[in-house]
Amino acid sequence: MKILAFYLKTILLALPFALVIAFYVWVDPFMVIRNYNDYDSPIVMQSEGTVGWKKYKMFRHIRHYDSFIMGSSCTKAFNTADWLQYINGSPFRFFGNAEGLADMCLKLEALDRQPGQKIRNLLIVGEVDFLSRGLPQKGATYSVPPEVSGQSWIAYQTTHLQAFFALKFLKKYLRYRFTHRYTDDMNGVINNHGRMRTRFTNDAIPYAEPLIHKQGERFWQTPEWLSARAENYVFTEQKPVIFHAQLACLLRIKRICDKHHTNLKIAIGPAYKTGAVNHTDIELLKKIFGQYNVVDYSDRAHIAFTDYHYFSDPAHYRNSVGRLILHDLYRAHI
Amino acid sequence: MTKEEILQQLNDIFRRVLNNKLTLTYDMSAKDVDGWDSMTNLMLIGEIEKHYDIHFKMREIVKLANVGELCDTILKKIA
Amino acid sequence: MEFVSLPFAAGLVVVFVLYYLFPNRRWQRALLLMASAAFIGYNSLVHLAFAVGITLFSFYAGRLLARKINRRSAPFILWGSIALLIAVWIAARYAVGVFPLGISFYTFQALAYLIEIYWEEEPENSLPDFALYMLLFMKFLSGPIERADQLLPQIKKARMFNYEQTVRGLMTLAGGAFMKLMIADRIAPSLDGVFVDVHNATSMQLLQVTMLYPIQLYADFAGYTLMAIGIGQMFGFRLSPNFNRPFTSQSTTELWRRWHMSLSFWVRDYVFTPLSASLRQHGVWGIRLSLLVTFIVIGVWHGAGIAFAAYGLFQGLLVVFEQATARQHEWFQKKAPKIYAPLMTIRTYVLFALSLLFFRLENTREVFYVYSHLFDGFTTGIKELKLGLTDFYWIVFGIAVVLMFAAEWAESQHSLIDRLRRANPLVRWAAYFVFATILFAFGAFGVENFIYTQF
Repeated sequence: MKILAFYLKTILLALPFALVIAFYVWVDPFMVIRNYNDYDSPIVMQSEGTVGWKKYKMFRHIRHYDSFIMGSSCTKAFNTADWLQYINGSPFRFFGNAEGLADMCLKLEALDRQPGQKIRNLLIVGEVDFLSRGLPQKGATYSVPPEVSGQSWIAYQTTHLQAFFALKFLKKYLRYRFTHRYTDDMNGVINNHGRMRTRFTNDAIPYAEPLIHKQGERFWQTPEWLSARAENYVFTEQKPVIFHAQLACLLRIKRICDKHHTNLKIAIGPAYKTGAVNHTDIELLKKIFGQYNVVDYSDRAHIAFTDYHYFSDPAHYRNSVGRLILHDLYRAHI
Repeated sequence: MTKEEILQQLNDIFRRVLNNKLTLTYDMSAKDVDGWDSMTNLMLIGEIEKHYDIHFKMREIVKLANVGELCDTILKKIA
Repeated sequence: MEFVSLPFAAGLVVVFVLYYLFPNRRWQRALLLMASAAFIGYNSLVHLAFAVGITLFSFYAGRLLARKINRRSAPFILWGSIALLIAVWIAARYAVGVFPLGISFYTFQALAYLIEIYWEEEPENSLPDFALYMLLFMKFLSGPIERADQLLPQIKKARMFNYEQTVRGLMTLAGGAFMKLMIADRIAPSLDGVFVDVHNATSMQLLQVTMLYPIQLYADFAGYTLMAIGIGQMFGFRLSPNFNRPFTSQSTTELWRRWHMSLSFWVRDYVFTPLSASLRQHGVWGIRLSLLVTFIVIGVWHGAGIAFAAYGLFQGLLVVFEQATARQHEWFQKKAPKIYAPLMTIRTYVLFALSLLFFRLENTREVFYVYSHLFDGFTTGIKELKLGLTDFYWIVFGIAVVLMFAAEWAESQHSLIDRLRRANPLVRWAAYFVFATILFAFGAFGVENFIYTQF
């Protein structure tokens, strides 16, 4: 019968794609299909937002998290152990790589939706790029589970499926799987640092600090560092980035913090040769969240912090800076 | 008046209103003639009504399928 | 329910298999009615309640009208029904809560149905057939607006499995999915990002999104329509075309014969013709007024508010202008035939893009803000023009747009689909696989919103 021929042919057409999907499901490289016990030593670089959320859900009944460090990967400079010197609570780092204001907002609102979840302390770690992103970003790096983003399950899964089969990704992944050797071009795709985060607080495990202790000045003499250091830099202020969409996010954050009577602090760290946050943006943040709740290390007063010794890589300042910022944020103001 | 004569007169009216040197046949309709669309259709109807001193009902205007039917309708009205 | 979603895909497969299992009219009709009810009521039963309510009303009003057609009460029954249908439609727009999906489409089908009965067509005597005419799930969300005399006869026949038609339906469906996933959904977030906050966009960005929006809208809406038509074909239905290469139009008048055809033909037959006929003693001014009213109706069909009326009025003024200057246009065309076509095509596109701002922004003040800032300066960096989309995806988008227009041209001039069907199996299957792979690898899945599902 003709109709059977039709069914047969459509199945034939669909078969390769079904196989491809089956392979992807079996591998689950981004760890988004199945649930795992340990997310912290992945082969493939994951979406930090997804991992953070899954760990939060997994451990919240044991740990009773009520204090959160949120923002971009610069959160790695803020250790929860250091934070606990200034706050009381059960902390958890819930961030994203290249996080944007809108992405953070989605996470915060998802936390707020969890029954019985308190938000006693919130530390937002941001910089210019973070503040400028007033719309949620798309792609596997920024993805968070549908529970958080409101996205459909199919969108969530296909984002990762397509990211996996992107040639850029797949080539490196397969090469690593077959050769078991990490090469530099796999940076950003394959995880070369073994254990990346602590289990319960989701702190970053700093692989740069031991290297700095061992190598000293040589740490900043790699080709990448030398060319970054060679650039000429005169102090500049970036253009304002907080407009209508970003302001809407800030107000959403404020609303939630008011509801939970949160002790909210905003940390803007130093920027290596990219310029300070615009003073109008800082003033706006202070106006909304309180004059003493915002600390800006990118401004002219903190120009000393543009020295490369304060950075583990041009985009990330070290824990020592984080500690100084915490001290400034939480000291009592008479 | 015969149907052929009406066709001839319609031809003149169409040529004048549509500014188009066409030749009408009974089975032609709007899609066969350049410039004959819903807008010019009403202008044609208006001219035809004036020429023959007749009045088309709304239903007749809407339901006209081709030139042949138009001729028949006109014939009925002037009889 | 969304076309591009797992529940719909799964449901479609199930309904398809059952449909051809017993190719018998009653079974197929019952199956389609159940499927349509499930489709409509999937997100909320309110949608289904409205649709069924209006269907029942139209059915019985039609029968009543037909019985009394030669009495004096006929016009009252007609106008009363029209008034009620429109009142419900307007009320639904302003009502709080859920806006009934598809209401603008099936309301217009109902209005056409009643008007045709008034013009002495026969009413439909079978409620299930009429219900399917109104509720058929393929065309329910966003059209095409089907005419009773086109769709009802098809409903009344059993449809046997036809291999060729089903395969072509699948290809049409795939074409529509391509437009939606590779073009419309890919670019939507970037354009939305500017439209949501026009005061903080640079003038180059405003210019960019204004000129790109017609393409997004077209890919979204025509893509949806192709999917609807393709699915219809798979089930043995011929639905009306809704688009015919609109960007090849050399005038706004022509554009509206190629854009959202089922709507523009509807207003031509049920608003323009009756109105202009009753004004025909006023000659060309009667026609011009009718044109303006007709286009304003098109505008407000899309939404309540001044902006939508302005959208329609803009189109109407352009059409009247073209009609009034027809001679001058002809003269120009004779004088400079080589540049006439491209110049007019660009002019039509640009004017259409400008008018669509009323439709997109829904706020006349914002539209005039954009108009006054379109040419403020050309001082934008490349980064701002990327609108958050990576270079890679800009290239993918650009290629997809070119492919879309090329395929449409090829289909119209050289019957692309016919040729593909007659090509040797190796070529055909290679084409299928390549196409599916492209969709699979580069499609922007998960960006949900057919723009026209809010109508």
